[in-house]
Amino acid sequence: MKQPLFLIVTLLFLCGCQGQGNNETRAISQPLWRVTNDSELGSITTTTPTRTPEGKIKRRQALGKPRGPFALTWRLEGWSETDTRLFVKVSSRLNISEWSVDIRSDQNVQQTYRFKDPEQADGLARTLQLGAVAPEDKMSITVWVWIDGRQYSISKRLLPVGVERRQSPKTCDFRGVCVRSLPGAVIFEQ
Amino acid sequence: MLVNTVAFAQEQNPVLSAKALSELTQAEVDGFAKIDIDLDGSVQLTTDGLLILRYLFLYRGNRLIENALGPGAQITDFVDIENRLASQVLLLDLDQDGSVLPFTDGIMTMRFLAGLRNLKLVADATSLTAENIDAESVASLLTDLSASTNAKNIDSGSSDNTGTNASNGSEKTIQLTALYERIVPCEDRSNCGLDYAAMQSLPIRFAEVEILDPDNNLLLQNLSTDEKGSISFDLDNQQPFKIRVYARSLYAQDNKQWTVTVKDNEGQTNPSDAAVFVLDSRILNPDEDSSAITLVARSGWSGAAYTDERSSAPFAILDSIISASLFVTAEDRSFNLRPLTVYWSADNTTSNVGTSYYLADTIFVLGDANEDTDEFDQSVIIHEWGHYYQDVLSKDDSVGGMHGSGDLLDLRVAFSEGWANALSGLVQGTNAYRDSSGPNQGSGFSLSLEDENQFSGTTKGWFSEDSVQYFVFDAFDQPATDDDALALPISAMNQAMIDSIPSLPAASSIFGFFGGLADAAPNQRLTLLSRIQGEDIAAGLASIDAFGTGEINAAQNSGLSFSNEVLPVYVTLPVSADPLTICQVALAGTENKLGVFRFLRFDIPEARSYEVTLKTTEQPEGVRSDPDFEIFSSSHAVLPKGFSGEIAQEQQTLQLEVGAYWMVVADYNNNGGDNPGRYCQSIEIAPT
Repeated sequence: MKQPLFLIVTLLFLCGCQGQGNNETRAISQPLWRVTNDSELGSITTTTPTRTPEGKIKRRQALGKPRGPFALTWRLEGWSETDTRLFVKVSSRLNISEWSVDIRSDQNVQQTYRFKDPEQADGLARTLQLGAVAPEDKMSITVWVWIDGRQYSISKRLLPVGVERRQSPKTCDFRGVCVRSLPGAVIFEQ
Repeated sequence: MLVNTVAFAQEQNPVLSAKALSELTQAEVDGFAKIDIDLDGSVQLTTDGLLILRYLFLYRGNRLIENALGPGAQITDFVDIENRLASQVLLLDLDQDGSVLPFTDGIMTMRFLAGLRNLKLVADATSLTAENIDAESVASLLTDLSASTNAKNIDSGSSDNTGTNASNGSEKTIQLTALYERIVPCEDRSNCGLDYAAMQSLPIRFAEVEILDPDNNLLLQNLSTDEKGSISFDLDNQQPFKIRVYARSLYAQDNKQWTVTVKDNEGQTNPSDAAVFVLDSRILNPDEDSSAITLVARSGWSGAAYTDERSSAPFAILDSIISASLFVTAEDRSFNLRPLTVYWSADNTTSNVGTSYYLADTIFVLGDANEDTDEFDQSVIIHEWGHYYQDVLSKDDSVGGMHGSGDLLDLRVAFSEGWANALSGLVQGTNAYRDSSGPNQGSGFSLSLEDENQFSGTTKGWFSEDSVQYFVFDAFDQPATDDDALALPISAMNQAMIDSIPSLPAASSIFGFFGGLADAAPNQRLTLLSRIQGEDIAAGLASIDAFGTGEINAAQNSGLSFSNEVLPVYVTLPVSADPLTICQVALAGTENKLGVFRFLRFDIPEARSYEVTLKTTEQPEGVRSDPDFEIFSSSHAVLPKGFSGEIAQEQQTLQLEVGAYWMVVADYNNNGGDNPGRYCQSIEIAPT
């Protein structure tokens, strides 16, 4: 069942229980781990889908915000400790003259890749070799496109996958009213 | 117990003594407030309010008055109390439905005496036949009934009622202004982002406020800020207090009602017990602190990052929604909006909630700093609120899904998204749609709602959210943001959205919207027609109906070769006739794109059972087709839907009433399945 999570995380751990030869075959054809927004489709959100008896999924899609003038698809794959590949694809019915990818750890840009590809009907795609990256690392990308001389961007957090809690817990009073208290600054006027 | 109460009253009020009602002159009785039931000189929740409610629940005798008389009560006999109640409760038909009832008038009286005002006073407490649901007039009536000529004193704990409890030697009037910090967008169109140097402090408007006793968090007063974020209230000089401002607006004025609450979903997509965001002050003391207090929700930005709590975020979201609500309700029409819940959290990322979106009276808002956070992106918040408006007040047949500039969309999606884009600019008085993202929220995108030439080579038409947004924005934008002569009032938009679209036996679309707009502004019909034809919609037509009859734009300019899959916009399906053949394609994409759904219409001449049969006649080689359909009347979907997994066929027997219907047909392979392509079916509808 498709869950309302866009980021589908697939960790493909190689299994050693099926024999060494089989293991080596898999190592060639599959990554060790993969993080992707293949099923995100940009800005689609779905509620919990219902499945008909025949197995069809009846989804009601939410009304999401505009994703802007282009769509972004990405897939991050770890093939070995020193071989990490980022597949990035931008697509639009508008004319993308150039595009670039900023790879960031935290907020610092580590690397910028810039492309001037001929127009393709099904989008512009590149696979970037990133070297050593672990699933526990922090990584974000900002993808820029140039359309009619103007820049537009989409930023995505690739790693870490999990959510870090950054807020204090809620409190409930004796009436059963639960609130999350935010501090207010008091200013007196004399 | 009764004896003790009376004795206490006599001790505290030596000049008064309990009497029989008959011993008092009419002039003496008339000197008390009309709902001062026990004639103790004040109208109180725990005495008069309780007596009224018990009486309405048919309590009589000692059960009526037990523990419900004030210490200075001048009448204490239950017979006298009953007699006074018998006459006075007749004054309490607050909702003007012809009856005084406990669950309506009684509850509102109790709420009033507990200090509740606005929507909290009247919500779910007026009868179905009520002629008065206006909170202000209910409060005004109760204020009059609570006023006396010789002893005005309502123990309501509220400051926005009668002006009583004026400051005296032991009390102090506190003036509070609640503000929040809003980070505004930069003005660069192509790469927007937020401009932290241009922060504004704005009022927290129409928000619920509690004054709490800090020792035990007991509620001292319950109030609501005004349009300036201000309130005033009186407190005992010795009463320490804490101010709590809710990210919640309970608005009920001038026949406009809404309830909007911003909650913390903690990154969850199905929050079951999310907490309401509140802004809390520190503990304050009336006798030590100034009486003029400003409480500020800070952004948490410290120059280079969010290092402190982002207190202003929920209030920025709430304020954008209040702006939108005030904008669309600024006309002489009643609005009673269903409660709306907004979920925001700094933990709302693209990997859990996915994006900012609307679904079923709920809006989720991204909050992930340095990736995508939308609390200050008013365009996004108002866009999503626009979906809420269309859902609750109009009709939204959109199937949702991914969308953006340049896309060739299903006509329902194009209208819903384009209209919401335009609304976001109209509410803000700006001609740009802006969405910030990225490191320090310093990038993102900005789209013009006015400049149709911002993108070269776009395909205009009824399937384009760009075309819809340009038309809607031009129809209503005012001279400050304008490049055209049209400037229709908001009442025309409401008439088209609220009165027209839901009544049509057609999907919500730019065609139905245009018809409603032309009816609302008949003297502008030709100007509107010229403007919409500038978007390659209804080219050459003198009039536009809800079905787009006569439309000739099949997105030829896109380079995609649609043939008979998108025109006519609606295929007319004759009842009891030979089957028709219809086709769909995924040339422009799947699920919510142009060509995936085929629209049909038909008229049912006789109420009876009909069989709808859909059979695949063409499909990609080696693929199992799975045709589906859904039928709608003007007001609702007809059940059951034709959504089985049967291969190459769909058949349903339906009981249909006389009238006009529309339907959509799609093959599941184009609408969520794995094999998009060209699919054709024969379709027929016949009596069983």
